[in-house]
Amino acid sequence: MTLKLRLLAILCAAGFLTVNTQAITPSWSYENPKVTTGEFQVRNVCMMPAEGKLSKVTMKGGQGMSSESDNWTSALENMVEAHLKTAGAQILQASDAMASGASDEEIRQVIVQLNQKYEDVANQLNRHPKDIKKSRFTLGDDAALLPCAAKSDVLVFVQGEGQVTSGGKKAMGMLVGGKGNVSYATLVLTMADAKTGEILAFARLSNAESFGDKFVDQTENVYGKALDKQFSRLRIGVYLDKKKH
Amino acid sequence: MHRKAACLKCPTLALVLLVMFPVAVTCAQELDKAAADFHFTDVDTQVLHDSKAIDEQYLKKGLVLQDPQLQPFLDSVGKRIIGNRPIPDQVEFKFTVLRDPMVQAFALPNGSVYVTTGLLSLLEDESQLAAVLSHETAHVFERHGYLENRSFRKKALTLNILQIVASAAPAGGNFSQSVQLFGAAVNLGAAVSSEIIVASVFGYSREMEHQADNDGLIALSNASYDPTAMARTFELLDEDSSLEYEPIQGFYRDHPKLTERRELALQYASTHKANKPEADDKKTYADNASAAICSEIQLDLSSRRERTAVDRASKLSDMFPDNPKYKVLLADSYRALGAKTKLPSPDERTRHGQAEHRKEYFSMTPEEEQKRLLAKPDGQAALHDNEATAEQLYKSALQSNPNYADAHRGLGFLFEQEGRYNEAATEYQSYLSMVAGTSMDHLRIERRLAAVRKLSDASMQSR
Repeated sequence: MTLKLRLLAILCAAGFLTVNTQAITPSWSYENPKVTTGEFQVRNVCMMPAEGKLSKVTMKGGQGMSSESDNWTSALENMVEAHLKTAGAQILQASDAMASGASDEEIRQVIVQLNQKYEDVANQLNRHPKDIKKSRFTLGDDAALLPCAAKSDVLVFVQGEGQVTSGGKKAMGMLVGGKGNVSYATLVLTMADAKTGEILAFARLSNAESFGDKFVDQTENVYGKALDKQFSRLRIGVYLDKKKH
Repeated sequence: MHRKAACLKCPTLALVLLVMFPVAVTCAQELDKAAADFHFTDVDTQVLHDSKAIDEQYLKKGLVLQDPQLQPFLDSVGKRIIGNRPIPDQVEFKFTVLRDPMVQAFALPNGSVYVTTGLLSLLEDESQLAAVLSHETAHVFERHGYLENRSFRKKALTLNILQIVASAAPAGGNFSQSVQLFGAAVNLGAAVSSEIIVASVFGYSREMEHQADNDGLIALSNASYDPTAMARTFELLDEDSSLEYEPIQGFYRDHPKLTERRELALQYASTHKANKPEADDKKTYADNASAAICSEIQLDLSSRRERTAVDRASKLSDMFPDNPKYKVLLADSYRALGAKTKLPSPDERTRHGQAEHRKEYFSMTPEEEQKRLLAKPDGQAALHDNEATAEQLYKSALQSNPNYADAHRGLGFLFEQEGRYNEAATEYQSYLSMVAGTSMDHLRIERRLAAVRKLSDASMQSR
């Protein structure tokens, strides 16, 4: 009888886990072959301002996590930059006027315009990411308007979206299941040709489930390895030289 | 007055208004009491903290448009609307323009009032802007942000409990289904952000919106603006929504129904006289808001809203026919239209047409959409007309100022698009010689020049 009860408990736990893991988006990435073959070389990178959004779900509804979102976004941006540097890439910032003589307002306007274009392209990109291989998606050569683009091979867009779930909400999730009851965090990385605006790579990294709510403070542990793997795949900087040898 | 008469001819609307008015008054009285009795709790402090953090994020992300002419204008209208009213505790009114093509205005509970470039470019005069600000500041005066947040938290808790109860109920029962539906809506809201911020941006409860309209109308009259401006603003919002397919509908458009709100505003205006706008009000407004309108046209062109761009640029160009900048923006907008018509066809305006547009918007890239349109004779005709209009506008801008570099660049883009590579090269060269390395666009045009020269050589050789 006790054995049967234990078996039932294990089955229930497995059931809840299945329900919960279904909510988590798996990691994947798509690249244009000209990047993975090394025909298009990535050594200089212009970072677009990262976008991150965290929300907290409790039994009393959602709660703002504005300052946490801000910190998490900075952490994601710094981590991506650090890994790109480790890969031997030179980093430039989209907001940097460099020697262009452009005003801050002009650069802000171009950044917002490029983000608008990116959002627009993302509608199709999210549905058919495989089509990156066919060079289907582009931001247009407006990408070259950014002062940093003159000295960069690619523009990098970093986007994070995460949800922290309270204990009460998790307990409810165990009772009723559903997507809204799991903590998750997804990092989306997109690379666009700095001259033509063509989307060259699109990766969705989602590895937060094993960290529970602690993913917010552990960006390196959550995404570090996956990023290195991704940059090796894209043959960025030193990875390009390694493969040549 | 004419509009009011039209309203009273419609018995259904008159009946709705008759029923709505006492209900709105009763709800407003309850809300007034809640605002008067308001005291800060921990939950409210969190909302205040979130609002401040959002202000910082908008600034940090470069979404705030800072213009030396527009900002003082916006501040002066805001100040006039607030008047001498006592400012609630923990509120500091700040009026800010956001670079965002979505037609929207919203106020955070800490008194930060945001108006998007999308909305500023739609409005026609100062009194309409005052109408928008009076509505938004009313939300702050009445503490709607905090009250809505408290109400939402209570509802969310109840729904969560119901969801648990429902999960224990027999599966497939009606009760279970309805509760799951509510739960999904709550979860969706929660996934976006703090509910209160979502509510601030996308709208409060119906009662709160009516109260903000009523309070806004009073503030508008007290500040000697014409109260009919609010009705006209609702009209503009309604008309504009038919121009493009919007992936996200702004709150203003249907919550509560714009026609209903417009009629209530007209009813109020009929009993309250105020200064009528002066003849050159529209021109003065357009001049003050020109930075926002120009920014908006660029954003529209970056987000597949070419028809809106043509509409806004036409407005500017008609008012300031001698300004080559506005002519070039209008020409850019016509060029970007490509095979699209300036206005949606009757077919596109139908429900089926809109559904088709929605499908295309999400499944086709702009290039694919153009290709599909060009496969039809109508699309080819539209492309021909739009390109001809664009060329004529660029040339007209150069007539008024032959050294206007952007007109040469635009002509270069147009000729390249038309396969007139030699002429495109000449225009790009003129542009480059005029900006002499000082333009942000120098490098891109140099690249394009090299490309069109190659194409031009290739076509010469093939001949």
